[in-house]
Amino acid sequence: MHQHPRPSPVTASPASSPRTNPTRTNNPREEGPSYHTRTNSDMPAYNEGDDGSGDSGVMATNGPSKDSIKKLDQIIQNFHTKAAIVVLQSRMSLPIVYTKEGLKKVNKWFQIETDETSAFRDDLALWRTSGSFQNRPPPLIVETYLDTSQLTNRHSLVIVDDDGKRWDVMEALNNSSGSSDGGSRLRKRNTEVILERWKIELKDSLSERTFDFSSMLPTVYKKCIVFFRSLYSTAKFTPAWRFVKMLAKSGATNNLMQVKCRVLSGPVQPSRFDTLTHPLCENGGPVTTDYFLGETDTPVGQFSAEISYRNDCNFRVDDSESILSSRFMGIEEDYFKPSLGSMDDNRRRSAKTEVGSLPAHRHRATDHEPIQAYGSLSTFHGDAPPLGSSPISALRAARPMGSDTSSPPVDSLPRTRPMQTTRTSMTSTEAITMARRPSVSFQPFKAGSLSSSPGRGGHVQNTAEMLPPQSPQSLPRTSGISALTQARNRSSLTAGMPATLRGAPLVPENVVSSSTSSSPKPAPISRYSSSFTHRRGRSSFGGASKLVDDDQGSSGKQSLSSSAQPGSSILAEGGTGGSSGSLQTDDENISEFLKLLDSKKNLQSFEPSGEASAKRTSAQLSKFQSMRESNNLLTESMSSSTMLHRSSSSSSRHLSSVPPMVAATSMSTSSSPGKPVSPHTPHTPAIPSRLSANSIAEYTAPRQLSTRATQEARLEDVADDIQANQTNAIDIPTSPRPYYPHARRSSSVAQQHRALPAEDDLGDLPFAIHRSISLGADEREPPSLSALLGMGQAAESEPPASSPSPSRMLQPAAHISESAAMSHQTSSSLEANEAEAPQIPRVLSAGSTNSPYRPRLGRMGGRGVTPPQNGSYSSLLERASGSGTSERAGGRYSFTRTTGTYEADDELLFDMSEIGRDQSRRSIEEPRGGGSLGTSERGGYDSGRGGDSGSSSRRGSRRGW
Amino acid sequence: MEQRKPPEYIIDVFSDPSSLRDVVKGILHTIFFHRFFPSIRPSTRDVLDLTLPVVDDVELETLIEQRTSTLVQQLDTSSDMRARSSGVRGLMAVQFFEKKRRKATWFTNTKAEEEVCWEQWTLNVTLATPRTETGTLVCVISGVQRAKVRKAMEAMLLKAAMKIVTTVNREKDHIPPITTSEANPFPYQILINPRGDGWSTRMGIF
Repeated sequence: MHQHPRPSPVTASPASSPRTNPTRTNNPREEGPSYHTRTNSDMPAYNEGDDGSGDSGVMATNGPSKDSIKKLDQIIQNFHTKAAIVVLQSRMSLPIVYTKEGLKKVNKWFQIETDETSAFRDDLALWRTSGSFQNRPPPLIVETYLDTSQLTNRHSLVIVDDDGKRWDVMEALNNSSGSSDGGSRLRKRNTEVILERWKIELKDSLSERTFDFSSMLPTVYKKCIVFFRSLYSTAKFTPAWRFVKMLAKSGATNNLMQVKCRVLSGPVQPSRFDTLTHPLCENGGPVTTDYFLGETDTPVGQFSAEISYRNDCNFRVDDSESILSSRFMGIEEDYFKPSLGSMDDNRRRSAKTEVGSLPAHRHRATDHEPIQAYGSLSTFHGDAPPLGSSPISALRAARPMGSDTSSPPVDSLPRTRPMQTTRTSMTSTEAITMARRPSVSFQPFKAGSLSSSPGRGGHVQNTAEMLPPQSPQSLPRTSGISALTQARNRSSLTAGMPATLRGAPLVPENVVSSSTSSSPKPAPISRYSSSFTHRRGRSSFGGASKLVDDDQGSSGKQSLSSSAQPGSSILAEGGTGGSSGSLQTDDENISEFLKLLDSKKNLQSFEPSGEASAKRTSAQLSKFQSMRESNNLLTESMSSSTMLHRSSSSSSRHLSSVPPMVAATSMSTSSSPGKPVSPHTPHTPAIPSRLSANSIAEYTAPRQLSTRATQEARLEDVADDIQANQTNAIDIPTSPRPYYPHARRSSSVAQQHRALPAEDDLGDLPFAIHRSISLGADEREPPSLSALLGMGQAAESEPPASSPSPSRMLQPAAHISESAAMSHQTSSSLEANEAEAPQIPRVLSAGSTNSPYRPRLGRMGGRGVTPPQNGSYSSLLERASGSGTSERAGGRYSFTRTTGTYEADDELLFDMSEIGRDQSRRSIEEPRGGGSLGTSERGGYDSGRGGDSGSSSRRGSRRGW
Repeated sequence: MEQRKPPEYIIDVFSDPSSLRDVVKGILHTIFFHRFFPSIRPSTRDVLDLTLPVVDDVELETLIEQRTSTLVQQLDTSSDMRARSSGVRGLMAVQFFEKKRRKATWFTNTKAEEEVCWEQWTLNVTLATPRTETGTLVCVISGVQRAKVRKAMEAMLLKAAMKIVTTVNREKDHIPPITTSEANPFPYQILINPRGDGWSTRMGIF
């Protein structure tokens, strides 16, 4: 019964291959010392199975013959071992076994040749002795991992994400593992990253063994052939293979990064910390992908194979210091310091990561933040104040993300500061009744990239119109706080100044600019300030301010002192020497702009006639007044005002709410609610009590909000005091802005003036004409083409600089709310960044010619957006760019849209504008990686098909067949 | 047996002119790699940034080369006319046959046999030509564009390859029994634009 002579493989060979390769080669492989081992271990198993199963009965009738059992055993054994070898050999070079003749020993099982190897012999011994019935094989697991134990202090293992951002792998692994394991902090540091895990197993089947399966074996074998081919193919498809290939090519760091494999048996312990599935970087996608290679039926179960592999395998060994510098570039000093220390002992620091851990932990903590934060990016500021922490954390998180790529640390720093300041100061500002202070807070907005928009009347109008649906969500909160701050700021600015309604439509814009440039041009401010004075009337501020007052000492001062400095200095009369360069430029630009405004008081582009607008404004104001009475809550009034604005003329419109938009916008926008009050309640801003006396009760909700915000702000101040300087994330949108605003503004202004004659008293539609005029001009003018070209270039050149980081950060946002109304908003704001690039050309070329393209571009960016949204889009873009005039252009554009004259042109322009669209879209979608095919097709290929080539082709083919 | 239509698997192939040949060949090789039953020593070839398996068989290699050339030629000539309106498409069909004789037994290996198709792979090849109407503009952004296109092609190619692998792994039951021990048990052929009449007329749709 035992030790049968092996059945001749020739006859048995299931593959009907007379050569008997499988078994034949199998045996010789075991030559030498191992041969015995094998036979001894193998045969007994087989015999056992034979005996133990009490085969006599089975064998008698239908049972599988010993022969077939043995063949099946061989198949099973070889299936496992061969699969392991196929995988192993595609991941690392294994020692080759040579025959006595000096030839490579080749294993030809399953019709796929592999070199015999002496490696992993012991590891695979278990499966070599397994059988079909007895001693069934446990799952065979092959793990490919990246061994980093050779890395020295000087090197860090980083993973490079799609945007080129580097992430410290070891940091991610060890921090999280430490925390997840809790007590076992002393356990050894992870020095490996699992890249993929293959699992090959013979699953149980319920089929009876009484069935004589000998005739099935050829089929099993045949199917196994296919399986092994696919296994081989798959092994070359996974990222790990590409990484191995890349490693082999580069060669230099071979010793530092080693891809190794190991063979395990049995199911993977689910409990253990898995360095396969642990996220190493934030790319918005799943960490691993599971791929199932299918099942192959055998008489005793199914062979199954699956692989779980890490999607991102762009590992690299970098200088620790370069990582350091890149990571902390643009981050505040404080952040930098501790990390430096940590880096020094980066390698060795085990559980005690005190100093070093600081940055790391932060990193970690905020790891998941970005998505959320960005998701709400558009509404960032709107929501942010109430949430308090979210903006900051988001900023913080964003910083690390974007920092590496390219976001210009230089400008970002100054600008970001203001931003931060803004937040803290927002709350603090309320508390501070001094006129100065508010301006400080305000300043940030101006300077802040996002906040650039506040003044832009045109925009706001558009956006207000478009966004109403969203407003309910974010408005309440936003309006409460932002409105408060806004009002305060403005009021403080214009405090004591006579209220002149004249030029009301322009007011917002002027105010904004004036606030920034208050020192350079005091006079203009006074003129326009009137509208804000009215705002003061809001009682809610008083209440808020009181509350804040308590915190004043801690939060307000801190923020002011630390981060607010730049702004405050600027605000101080004559103190134009604001520390930050961007601010400075802004000031200059603004002052210039103001001058322009001064020279042309009426600024007819917005309002046909100053007088008419004034009247209208006053009328609206009164309207609002009544409204306010009906509405108790500030927020409600907000929304309602928005609606009113929609119908009303442009002047009031821009006040309407755009909260969901960028932070700054929301701030400025929210101010509108206050408006109604203003005409009748001309208070001096400095007296909070008065304000509160008016209607504290009414504004309970806002007050609470503000209070909360204040508190949070305080907390943040304490905790993130220093961080205030660091939070740059938001600046991205604006980053380009400092450069262009100057030229842009002037040009656009000029354009407006030019256009002015054309429009008389057209009421709401003046811009339509405007628009069409400019459009026509553009089309006529050849320069436009070049401008477009320039745009393309600019867009192209731009991304490297700023888009990587924004897109990276923003992408999730787009993802999240794709379907929702918010999505447009989000995307628009996202694209605002990209839009910057196009803006450049515009500045460069004659102002009038280029500007028309602007809107179009923006619109294009809105891919598939409905007309109204487009309007908001363009305006958004404009706003993001931060030029007062350009916004107006956007506004104009939207108007035109309404008139419909624009539509016709639209088509003609489509192709050209597509370029711009492409650019902007690219940056957004690129992070999405994946099926970018459609996009690229659309962008790169036949436009004739209307950008549907990707899908259509497939569709077409299906139809055809 | 004959009334049943052999399974057909459709693979979308997408490429720009510069990589068309490699991509198509890569796909064909990938298919054959899983359908070429003689024992092989597997090897690979890099297409774009992907590593695709290759069957080291002269005869097969020749056939693939030749058919691919034919297809590329066809697409090239037609691309001028259609580049503007749509991507140029072509079809390739890979068919596998079994040699069958009525009542053939397992070990029967006779000469008088008919070939029955048991599987067909249809390559739906789209030749994407960068649009020309905005020539200069394209030039300006060609760098980025090219990278994008390449990425798209890679993604598509990987998708196609994975589809092949998945398909062959899932659909194994229809593979006819291997009744010969010699060379390739299953004859194959590669057709270019089969059923051309119906197809070409339909192209006008887009």
